[in-house]
Amino acid sequence: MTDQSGFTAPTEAPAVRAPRKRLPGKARFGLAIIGLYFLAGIFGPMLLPFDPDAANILQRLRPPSAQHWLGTDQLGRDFLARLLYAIRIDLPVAFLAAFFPMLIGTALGAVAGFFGRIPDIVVSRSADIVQAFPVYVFLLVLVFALGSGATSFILAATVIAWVGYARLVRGEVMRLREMEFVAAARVSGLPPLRILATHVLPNALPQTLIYFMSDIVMMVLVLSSLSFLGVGIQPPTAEWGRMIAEGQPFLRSQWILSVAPGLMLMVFGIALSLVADGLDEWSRK
Amino acid sequence: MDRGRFIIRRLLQTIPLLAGIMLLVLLLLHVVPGDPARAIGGISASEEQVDQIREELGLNRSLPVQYVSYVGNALRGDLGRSTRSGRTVTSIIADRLAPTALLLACGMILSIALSSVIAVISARNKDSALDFALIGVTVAGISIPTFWAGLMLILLIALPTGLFPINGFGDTPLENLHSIVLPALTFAIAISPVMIRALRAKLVDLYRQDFVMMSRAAGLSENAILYRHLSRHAAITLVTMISVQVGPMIFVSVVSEKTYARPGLGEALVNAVSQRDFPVIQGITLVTALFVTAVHLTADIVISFLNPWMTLK
Repeated sequence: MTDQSGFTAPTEAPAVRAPRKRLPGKARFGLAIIGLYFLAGIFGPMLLPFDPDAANILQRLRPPSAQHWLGTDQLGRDFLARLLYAIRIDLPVAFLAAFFPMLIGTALGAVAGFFGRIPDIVVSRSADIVQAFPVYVFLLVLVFALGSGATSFILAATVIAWVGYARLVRGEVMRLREMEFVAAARVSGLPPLRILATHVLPNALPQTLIYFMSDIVMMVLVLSSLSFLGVGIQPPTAEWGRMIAEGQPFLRSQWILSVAPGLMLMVFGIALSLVADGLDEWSRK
Repeated sequence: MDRGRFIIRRLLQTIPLLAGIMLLVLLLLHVVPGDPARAIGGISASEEQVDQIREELGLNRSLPVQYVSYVGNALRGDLGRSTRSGRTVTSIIADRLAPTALLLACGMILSIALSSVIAVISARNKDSALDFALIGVTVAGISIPTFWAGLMLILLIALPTGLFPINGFGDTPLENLHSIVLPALTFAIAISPVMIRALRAKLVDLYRQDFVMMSRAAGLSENAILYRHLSRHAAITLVTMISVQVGPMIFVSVVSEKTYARPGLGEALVNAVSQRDFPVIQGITLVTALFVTAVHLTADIVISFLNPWMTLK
C-alpha cells in the first residue's frame, strides 16, 4: 500500500529512554561533606560529655589532650563541643537567610518579568535603590537597628538579598516568556498566573537553585563576619565567627582557637560550591 | 542613541536614586523596634534626656518633614552630630577617610593585578593541572571569611617574620604604605576569587573565537593576540566585575580595618554601632552608598567607551 499524500504515519516512539543524568562526582563529593556536617551537628554535641556553654575557669586555654581533644577556650569550655555545636547555629541561620530572600525575590522577579509595565518598574526601581548600598554594610547596619541575633539577621537578609534573586528570575522569565511553548499555553486559554507558575517558573528553577547555594555560602560568611564585629550571634552561643574573634588575642599561644572555626567555614563553603558547580553542569547537560 | 545622550540619561537616572538612598538611610532610624530615641539613650537615660534626643533628631516631626530637612541638610554637608562625642558627623568622616581610601585603592589595584594574571594563566592552560589547581584555590578563596584570612596572614607571615605591623595606620607616608601591605593582601584574597572566575570564563570564551585562530594563523604571537585583540573585551568584564563587587569591597574594607585595628571609616562604623550612635551610622552608610553609586555610574560610562555596541541599542 502506497500513500501518495507524502505524509508518513507517526511511528512509535523509540523504546530507548534517555540515559539517566547522574550528578557529577564533585557534586556528590560536596553533598557527602555536607552530610558529614549534618551528622556532626546532630550527633556530635550529644556524644561529647561537655556542655558547650559551661565555663570552667580552672581549665582555661588547655592544649589538646585525651579529655579535651581540641583543648579548651579562654573560659575553659571544651572547644570541640563548641565547634560542633556551632553547626546548629551557623548552618540553619545561613540557610534561612538565603531561603526567605529566594522565596520573595523569585515571586517579585517572576511577576516583574512576566507582566512587565508597572510591576516591573516598581520591582526594578526598588532593586536599584537597595543595590546602591554596599550590600553587607547595609546588612550590618540593619541587623544592628533591628537588634542583634539570628532573627534580625534573617529578617535583614530578606530585606536586602531578595534583589539578587529578583534580577536573576526576572531575566530568565523575560527570556522564557517569548518561547513558543508559552505562546502555545496562551492560545490554549490557560490563565496567565497558571502559565507563569506551571510553565515558566520551573524552567527558571535550576539557575535559581544554583544562585541559592552560592548565596548560602555568602550568608554563612557574612553571619560569621557580623558576629566577629559583635553584631551577629551574641555570646555565649557558640558561633564560628564569634569563636575566631574570641581566639584572636591568643593567636600566638593557642592558634587552634582561631584556625579551627575558619577551617569549618572554609570546608563547608568549598563543599557547597562543589554542589552548586556540579548542579550547574548537570542542568546544562 | 549616541554616547553623550546615554551619559546624560544615566546621570539623570541617579537623581531619583539618590532621593531613594536618603529615604532609606532616614528610615534606618525608624526600623528600630520601639522608640528610637529611647533605644539611642539606653535604659538608664532619664525621660528628659530621651525627649532631648527626640528633639535633636527631629523625631517629633512628621516623616515627610524629617525627610525634607534631612535632604536639605545633607546637601549642605550637614549630617548631624554624634550623640556620643558631639562632633559633627562630617568632621568624623573627614578624619577617617584617608586610611579607608588608601586601603580601597591599594586593595583594588592588587585585586585587579592578581585577578588578571591568574585568569590569563588559567585560561591559556585550560584544563591543565595548573588550571585545576588555580580553580581550587579560587573556590577555597570564595569560601573563607575575610577576617579569618587576615588573621591567617598575621599568624603565618607577620608573626614569624616580624616584617609587617599588625595594627594601626602609622604616622608618616612610609609607615602608611608599610601598614597597608597585609590589609591590602587580605582585601585581594577576599575580592580576587570572584573576579578571577568571571575573567577566566570570559577569556576561555574569547580564545575559542575564530578571530583568535585567524590571528594565530597570521603569525601573531600569543602576547600580541592578548594585548591587541583580547584586552579590550577582558577590560569590559573587569570593569563590570568592579562595579558588581564594589559593595562587597566596602564590607571587606570594614572587616579588615577591624581585624588590623586601622582607624578608618569602617572602624568608625563598627564603633558607632557598638555605641548606638545613630547619626554617625547614618552618615557613614550614606557616604558608602554615594561611593557605590558613583562607582556604578563611572563603570557604566567607561563601558560605554569600551563597548560602543552598548550605546547603539
